[in-house]
Amino acid sequence: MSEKEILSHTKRIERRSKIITKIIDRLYLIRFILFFTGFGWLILLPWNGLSRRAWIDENALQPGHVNVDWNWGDVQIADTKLALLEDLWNRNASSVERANFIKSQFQEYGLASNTQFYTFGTPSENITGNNAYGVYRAQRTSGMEAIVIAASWVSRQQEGANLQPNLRGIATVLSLASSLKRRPVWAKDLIFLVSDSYLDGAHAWLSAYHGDIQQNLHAEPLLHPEPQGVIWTALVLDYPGHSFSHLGLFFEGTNARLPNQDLSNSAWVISHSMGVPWVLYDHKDEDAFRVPSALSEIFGHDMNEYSRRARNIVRHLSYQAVGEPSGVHGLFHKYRIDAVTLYALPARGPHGFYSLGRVVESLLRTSNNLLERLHASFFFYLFTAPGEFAEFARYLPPVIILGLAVSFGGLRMFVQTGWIPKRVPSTEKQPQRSLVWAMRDRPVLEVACIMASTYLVGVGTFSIVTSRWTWAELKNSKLHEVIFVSSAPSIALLVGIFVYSRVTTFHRLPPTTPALLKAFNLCSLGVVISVIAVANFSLSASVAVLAALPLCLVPVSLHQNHEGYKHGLTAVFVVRRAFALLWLLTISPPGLLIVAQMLEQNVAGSNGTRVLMWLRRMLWESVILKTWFLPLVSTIYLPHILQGLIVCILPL
Amino acid sequence: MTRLFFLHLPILLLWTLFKLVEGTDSSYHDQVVRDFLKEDQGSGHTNNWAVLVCSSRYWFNYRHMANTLGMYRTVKRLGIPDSNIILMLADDVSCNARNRFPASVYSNGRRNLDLYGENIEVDYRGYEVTVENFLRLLTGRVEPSVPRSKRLLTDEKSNVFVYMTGHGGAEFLKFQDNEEISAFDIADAFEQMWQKKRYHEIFFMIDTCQANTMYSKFYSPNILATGSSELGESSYSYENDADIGVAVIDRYTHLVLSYLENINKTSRSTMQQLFDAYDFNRMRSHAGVRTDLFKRDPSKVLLTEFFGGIAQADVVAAEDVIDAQRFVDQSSSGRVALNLQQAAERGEVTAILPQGLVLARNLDNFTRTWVGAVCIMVLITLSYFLG
Repeated sequence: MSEKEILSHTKRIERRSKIITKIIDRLYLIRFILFFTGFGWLILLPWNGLSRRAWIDENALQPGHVNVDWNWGDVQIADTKLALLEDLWNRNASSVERANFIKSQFQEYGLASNTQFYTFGTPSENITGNNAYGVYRAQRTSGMEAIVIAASWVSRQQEGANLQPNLRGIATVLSLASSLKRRPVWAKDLIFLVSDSYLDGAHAWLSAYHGDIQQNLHAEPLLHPEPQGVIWTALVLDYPGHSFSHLGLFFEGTNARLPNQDLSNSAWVISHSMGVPWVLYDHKDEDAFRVPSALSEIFGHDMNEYSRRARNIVRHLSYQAVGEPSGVHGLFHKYRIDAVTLYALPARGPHGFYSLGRVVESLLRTSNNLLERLHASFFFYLFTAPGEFAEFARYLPPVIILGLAVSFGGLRMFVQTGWIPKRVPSTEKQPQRSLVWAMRDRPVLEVACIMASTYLVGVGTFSIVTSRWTWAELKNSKLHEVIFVSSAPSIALLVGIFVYSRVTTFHRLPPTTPALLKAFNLCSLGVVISVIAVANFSLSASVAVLAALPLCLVPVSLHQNHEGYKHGLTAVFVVRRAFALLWLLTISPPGLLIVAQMLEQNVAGSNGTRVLMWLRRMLWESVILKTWFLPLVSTIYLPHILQGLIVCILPL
Repeated sequence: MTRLFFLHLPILLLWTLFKLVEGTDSSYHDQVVRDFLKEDQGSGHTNNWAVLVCSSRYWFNYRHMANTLGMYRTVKRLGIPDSNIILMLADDVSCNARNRFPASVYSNGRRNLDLYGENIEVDYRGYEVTVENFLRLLTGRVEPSVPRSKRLLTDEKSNVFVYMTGHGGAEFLKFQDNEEISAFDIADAFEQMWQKKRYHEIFFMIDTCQANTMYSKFYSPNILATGSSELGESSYSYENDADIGVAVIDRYTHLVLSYLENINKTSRSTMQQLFDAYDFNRMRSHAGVRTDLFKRDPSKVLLTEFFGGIAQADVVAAEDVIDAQRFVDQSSSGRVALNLQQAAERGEVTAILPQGLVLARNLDNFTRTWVGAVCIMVLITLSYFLG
């Protein structure tokens, strides 16, 4: 290497280190900007500038291009069936009787049909039920693919203890079975499914269809007829009212899976072409929160529009973050079946069987046109308004940015723990005493042990939450007991570490422990946020919004006990600590539950059963549908909060 | 007087005979006949071929099948026999399970004309419709096992109509959703055809998005080309049949077919008239025409020269015919005989001279002179005796 080259290399290295230094010097500013951008972007998500109009991407679909044959005769059949169904429901017919009735109806139309019995084992009891299904085999093809048209006995609109039956949905399915088989246009088998209960029936049926073995499920195999073919799409009808005013789209699946957007868009296009108003969920425009018009004037933007979109996004988050299916359709996603629920918004009118049948038939013809599985359109999206969505690239960045801000904080903290300022005695060369940075030990074993113990506590908490005892307590509406018992391991750990760090003389924790723990905690949180963001935006966003800021703000003193260091325990520091402690306690899972219940009682003015019901549902879904929410909260989210709390309680 | 008449009658007869033999120096007569035939048509081709290609498959591309079948019906109606039509259909929508009217293909919403009908010969179907097969078909570089119905048996006197439809873009046309043919491929294939004397003139028509780019690379002579849309433009479908549930024909093809529907075999309509009928308001795209490679004026080219199969006559040297006949007779190979017979059927080998002339022309010059001399001698002798 020539001298010139060496010189250029030196220069380059110098230049690089200068840039890095500049960045590191301004890291606080950079992190502030990142946090600001991340939160700001999240707030801007409902702004219509971030959304774009949806379109049909798959050429084969051709939604709404075809005449449908559903007519008033079919409506009459549906009405007749409805009367029979109402009779069954009103006299409290058993599950078997109901399933056999459906089976006989299918057989009347000449469809091969059968019933299926299933049992789910839960910690406290067994849940049983009976599904009924009928199969229409496409005559002109080999039957390699199938479409499912399903309705569950219980509507998603469950009103408290009184189950709202989905009788009109089932009547529509029955009438469709008689109507659709008359048309010689099917390139796929049609499977008509009437599943028992709300979610469990369809879950059992799908598990049996796909040979999926679940430990606590016993489902009869589907024989005579044995449905065959790969299910590509499924439509679920939910029509609990007398008539309906809008068709609502429910699309979130178990564990945050989403169906291909083409299916929802096709339904939207068809619904429009048939003259049926289309909404997201059951969100009618007139029900949205009215923003004072003064606000709109200030921002120069229709804030009501913002409010409507924000409502849709929050609703989406409430399903996706906890991995809860927003309807029976959500169970299909697990098997890579694109499915949505068409929810008929109960109203006095003007729509009924006629409109619903036409939309469904047209949508089935569109699905029938498919040559491959739906793949052209988006699988990751955020519906902000009917027919409008935010793309991946427009809603994901804020979460990644927040994750980045957290990670930067962790890395900086890790670097800082390795150095300590030292006073150098005056020498001849340097007459003044000055501060220099010296390296110091950074023992990680203790921190690793603390972190491991928090994860162990997480596992312990999860086993408590899913135990038979919790199941029974929740059934008896004893929410506070459950919260207390499930927090017991966490409290024990916190108390243990508090005592140990102050009392023990056996193995004192090194002074870098709090800072190092915070560094690891932040690094790990940053990774968690970024990784989850890809699979489940809503969960990641929730974690980021809840935990990113408080965990970053946990105060640590870096340079205690070193030579010449003046003890930094000031009043400000204590107040910051107390503040962080309180904040972390609030965002811990038990804290959130308590806050939610308090809010519900004091603000919403209800008796606090909604939180209880929600927790019951989460538990039920975790056991029956195997959702990831409870395991994730117990073993990922809780340990991170615990680590933050431990940083707060360690001695300075 | 009577004697005089009887004396001169044989002389007259013999003179006539002599003149007959003497005067059959063929070139003059050929020229007369040629000129007579030329009067009627300027093309100079003797046979017509059509290559009709639908390059896209799938149910939702129903309209491309209907485009091609509509064109098939028209060229057949105007006289090109099935043996001279190569029909390539990448999919079979008529038998698709989604087709509410099985075994039929319609190109209009009223469904009054079934294009599939009962008399249709698809030469390349389904996955046989590939870029390779298409190029092999044009250039004639086919495997020996390829049946005659799948070959383009054209010659230097063939007018070839090439129609293509499918999904395309700038300088390419998609085949089967998995490969593409480029404008250069087709241009090179046409050049090979020209060099191999596989065509006399080509009329190239294409209906796809950005279709005009597809003929922009042609460089061989005698090609007239037209397309449905400019670079950057889409070609749109014309009509959707709500019972079938898909679009059933494209705008450009619909316009062309509508125009041709008023044409019959004897029509004097010209290419220019067809081009003048192009209407942006009906097609929503700018159809293009390329005439620089074509030597004739499109306003003097009859539509039937490409869309029709009007039998055209040509003068060929008698030797050729006799040679050919002899070859057929002597050939032990039935295949050659068959070839020749079919060539004759197609009108490639056409003898229109009167039988006597043909006989006279059979004699070579020496024999011809000799016969002439004998005739004169007989004439002199007779006149001497009778006189």
